[in-house]
Amino acid sequence: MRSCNYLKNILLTLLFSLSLFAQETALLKVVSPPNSDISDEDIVSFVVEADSNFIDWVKISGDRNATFNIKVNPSHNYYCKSIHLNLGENNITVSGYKDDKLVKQESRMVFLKSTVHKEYRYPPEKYSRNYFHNDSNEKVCATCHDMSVNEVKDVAFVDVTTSNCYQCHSQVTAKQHGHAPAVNWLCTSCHSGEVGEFNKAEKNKTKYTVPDPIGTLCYSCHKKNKDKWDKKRFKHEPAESGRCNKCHNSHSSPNPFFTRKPAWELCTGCHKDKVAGVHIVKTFGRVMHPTHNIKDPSRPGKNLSCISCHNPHASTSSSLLQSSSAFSLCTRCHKK
Amino acid sequence: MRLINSYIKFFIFICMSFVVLYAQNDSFEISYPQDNRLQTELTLNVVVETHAQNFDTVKIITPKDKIDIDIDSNKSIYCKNISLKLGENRITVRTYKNEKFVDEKIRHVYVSSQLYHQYKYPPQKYKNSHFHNDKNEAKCVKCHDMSVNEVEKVAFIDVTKSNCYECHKSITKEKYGHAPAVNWLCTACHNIKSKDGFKYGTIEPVSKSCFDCHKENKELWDASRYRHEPLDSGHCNKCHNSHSSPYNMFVRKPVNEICMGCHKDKHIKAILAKNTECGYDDKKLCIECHTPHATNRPFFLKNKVTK
Repeated sequence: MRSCNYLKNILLTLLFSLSLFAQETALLKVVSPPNSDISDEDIVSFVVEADSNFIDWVKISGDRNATFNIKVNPSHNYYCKSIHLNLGENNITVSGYKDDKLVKQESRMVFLKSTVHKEYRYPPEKYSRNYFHNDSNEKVCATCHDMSVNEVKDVAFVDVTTSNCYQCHSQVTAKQHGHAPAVNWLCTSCHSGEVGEFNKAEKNKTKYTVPDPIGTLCYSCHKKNKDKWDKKRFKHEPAESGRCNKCHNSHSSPNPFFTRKPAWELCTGCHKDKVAGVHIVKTFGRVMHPTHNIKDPSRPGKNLSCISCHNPHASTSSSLLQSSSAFSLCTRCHKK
Repeated sequence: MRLINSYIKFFIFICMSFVVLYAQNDSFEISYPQDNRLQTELTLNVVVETHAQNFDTVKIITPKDKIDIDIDSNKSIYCKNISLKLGENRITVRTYKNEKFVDEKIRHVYVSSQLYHQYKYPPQKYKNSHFHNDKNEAKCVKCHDMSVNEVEKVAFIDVTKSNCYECHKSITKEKYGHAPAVNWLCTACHNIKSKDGFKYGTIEPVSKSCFDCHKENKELWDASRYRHEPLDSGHCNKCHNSHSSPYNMFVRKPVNEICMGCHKDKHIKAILAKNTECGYDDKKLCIECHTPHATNRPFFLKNKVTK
């Protein structure tokens, strides 16, 4: 009989604490991203649910960001913020305050992955890739945002800020060199939801997947490049397998041609034997030819890099040289 | 007048020499391969067609071999399978009459390989070409049955019965043979007809064919977090020879040489220090620690590494 009472007490306390817990989760909740998320872009949109009855303001702080303070007001429950990421692991903390007292805190680990940086190519196993744009997630957004696609195929916006994608994703085009479809916010010209030969598993995971390999999409505009490269005898592996996005960021980048890293760093990321910065070709006097850190006479105003001599896409000559023969390669710079 | 005369004489001389040359050239021809052929296999069939009987022996001289063919008055077409080396090959076909040299013709063939930097870039003049179109096959039918006589997915009891076998048998001669090839079910993969009339092309990327059988591998690898570039772009044949090879799993070179052919930094380190950061030495194989296809672990490691 006594033990029965004990049990009752335990059950009651459990129920009570559970109800408390349930209440607390409603105070402040990070809707997106899920914990241990993998991101390919250096920004991630945080969606926070906060109840103005219990929280006055929300603080989001990451490793790279100035802390964001968001005031919670009774008119809505969801708050979004674009958060910048460092390569690798990012710990982002979301804290809810009431009367300047911390009420609740949640944190999210997000891994910014990069295939062109070996050290960030392999996220630890706890991280996984998640997709945002499905119906259940979008329902949450629809309270404030128009979640429909409002672009007209192949017609640029007069005012890009009127694109429904812009408000949440404006940061992807913030870098100096922007790719035309991205900076004109014609997102669905690539993010069609189609999958390719190598990402069939991603089908229907999000409305806006891009096919892998992405080449066929790129070549739908860059037809002339395709024609030109198809005629060349030798092709560089990423170009041949249609993985343009391996080197190029199709949104925007600080580098010309929106490459993911400056050319020399990009090439030596895979061709590691060339990292030493001197080339295998011995020049006169047995001095190795430099590959960077000097001016490039063949391209005034630019510095020497791998692409001064090698074509990163396709070439008719061996070793993907920019010229038809080794000699005419030298004379591009060494005129006399 | 004297000048015109000498011009006429010179003209006649040129004409005559052309006639002589033409007549001589016409005594035999190399119907296959055409000059400056580019290929990836190390064997090749040479087809010699004789027109006149001003010789009794044909010699085929290759970088690896010398082959004599005796001329039979009932036959006009002779085929011979030859072995080639990587890079440029000069194939000389000479005719002899009573052991005296009569004439010769030369073919240049380049065997390229994606796995050797020095053979990755064949000179401009070399061009890919395909034998099996209706026009070429019309010559073969005199001796060979040119139809495909395999039953889909049914292995031959006697592979020598395959119509493909007679001309192509040397591609499966190496120690490790790939099942569809050694069972001579060629059209399991060679099933693409191209616009130029070539009957036995393969699909691009080739993995679509490979995964028809290796379904379980595909499922396993698709579920993995990281995939090695050649696998991820469907180029299984970059490392594997789908016919036969002297190396296990019919890889095209010994394992470490394959890996370090691309991962050159590991090669340099191995040469300089006799080991690399991951502890490679001559006796160990890259694939003891790394998987060459797909994995959930960073750096394609096979097992969890605890520091």
